[in-house]
Amino acid sequence: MTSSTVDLAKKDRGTLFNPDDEAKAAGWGTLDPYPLLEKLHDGPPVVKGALEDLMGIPRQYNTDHWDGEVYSILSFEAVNKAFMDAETFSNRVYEKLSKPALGDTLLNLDGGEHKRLRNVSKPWFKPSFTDGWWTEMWTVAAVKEIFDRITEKDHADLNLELCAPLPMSVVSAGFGIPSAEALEFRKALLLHGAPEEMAKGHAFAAEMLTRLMEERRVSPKDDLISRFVHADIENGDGTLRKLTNEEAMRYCFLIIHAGGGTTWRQMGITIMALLNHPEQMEILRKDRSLMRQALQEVTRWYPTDTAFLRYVEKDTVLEGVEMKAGSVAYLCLGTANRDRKQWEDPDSLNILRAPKRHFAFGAGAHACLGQHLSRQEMEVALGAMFDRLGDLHWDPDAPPAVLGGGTLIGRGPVSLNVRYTPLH
Amino acid sequence: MSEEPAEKPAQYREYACLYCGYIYEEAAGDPENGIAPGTSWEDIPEDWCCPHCSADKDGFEQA
Repeated sequence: MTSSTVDLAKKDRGTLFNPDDEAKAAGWGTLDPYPLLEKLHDGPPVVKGALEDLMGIPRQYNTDHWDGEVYSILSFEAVNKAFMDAETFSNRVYEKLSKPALGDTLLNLDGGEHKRLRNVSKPWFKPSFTDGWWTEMWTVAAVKEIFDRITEKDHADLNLELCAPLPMSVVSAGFGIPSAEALEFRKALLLHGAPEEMAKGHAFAAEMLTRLMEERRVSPKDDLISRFVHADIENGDGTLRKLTNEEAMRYCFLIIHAGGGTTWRQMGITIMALLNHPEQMEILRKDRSLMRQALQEVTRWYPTDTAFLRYVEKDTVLEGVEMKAGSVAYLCLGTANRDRKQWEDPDSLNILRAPKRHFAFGAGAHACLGQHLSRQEMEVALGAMFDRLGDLHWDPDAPPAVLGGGTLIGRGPVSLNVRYTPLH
Repeated sequence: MSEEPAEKPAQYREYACLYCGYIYEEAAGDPENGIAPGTSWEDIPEDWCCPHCSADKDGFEQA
C-alpha cells in the first residue's frame, strides 16, 4: 500500500504546527504550567476557584458562559472520581466550547445519546484494529515515506518533518481524504481565528466531505468515510438507522481535527523528552519492548493538555467540598498525573516505571476515542526514528527546543532541530 | 455469551482498564456487551473490549 505524506517543510503551512502561534491566535498565555502548579500539591484536593486564578495566569477557558461557581479538582483520586461519574460531571460544558464550531459531537453529548454515537466508531479505534488496519494500511507506509525524506540529509526539524505530517497524513488517508487536499482540510478545520475565517474554513471542509461522502455512498472504498456513510446507529428504542450526512460529517470533523492535533503535539513532547534524557532514550532504543510503558510514562509526565472542563449536573460533595448543580469544574491532569501520593518522584521522567493509569487521554465514558491509534502511531514513528537516525542529538547550531502552546491547552514543542547519521 | 449468571467463583475480582479506568467487576459482568454477571475474567472472550475506550483484555490489570 503506497502512501503520500505532506512535506510540510515545502508547504505554506500558515500558523499551523506551531503551538505558540495557535495559542496566540486563541489569546492564551504560553507559560509552562508545571512550576505554577507546584504549590497546589500541598493544598486540598478540590478548591473553589478557576485553575488559572490558582496558578496566577489570565483565563484560558471561558467559564463565564455558565452562571454557577467554578472549582478546580486537583488530586488523582478526586480527578478520577469526577471522570468516572459522568452523570454528575458531564460534558455539557462543551455545548459552549465545541458545539458552536462542530455541532453535536461526542464531545458535548452524554449518557445514552453519547454511548450510541460512540458505539458507531468504536470498532475502528480498538487496539486490534489500530494495530492491524490503521498500522498496516497507513501508518507504516507513511512513516517510511517520511523517514526516506528525512534521511536524504543529516539534520531535520522533527516537529515539522515528522510529528506534524504523520498523524495528519495517517488520519486523512484512513478517512479517504486525498493527500493533496489533506493540508487544506486541516487548515480549514482550524478552530481558532476570526469568526468569518472559521466559518469560511468550515464551509470549505464541509463541501469537501460532502463530495467524498456522496462518492463513497455509491462506491464504497476501504476507508472510514465509507464506513461512516454506511454505518448503522442505534436509536433510543433499540431500532437501527443509518447516520445522517450531517452526523457523519460532524463525526469526521471531530476525529480528523482531534486525531491530527493531539498526536502531533504529544509525539513532539515525547521526542523532546527522550532527547533531553539521552540515557533513557538509549535504554528504549536497545529494548523496544519498553515502548508501551515509555509512552505511558511520557504522557503521564507531560500531557499535551493540562486540564479539561466538566459541568456539574447535580448538587454533590467531592472530597468534602460541596458543589452546586450548574457549577463548572476544572479536572487538572497536570496535578493529578504528578500526584505525590500516587508516584514516587512524579516530576521526574522515568520510562522504567511500572505502567500505571493516568489521565493524559481523559478517563471514563469520554476517554479519548483515538488514544490507541495515537499510541500506535507514536510507537511506529519512534521505532523508525531509532532505526533510521543514528547518533541522534540536538542540533547545536539551531534554536533549542522549547515547549510552547497554551498553558492549559495544546502544549507541544515549537521545533525539534536535530542532527543524525542517516541510515538506509 | 449467555445472559445467565455463570457459576459463582469463590471470590469475585475486579479488573481496571489501564487506559480509561473502567472497572470490570466479575460480579456485575458486562451484560450490555454479552458478558453475564458472575463471568470470571478468564472466561471473557478475547475479542471483548473495554466498554469505554475499547482497550483489549491485555490492557487491564487486577484492581
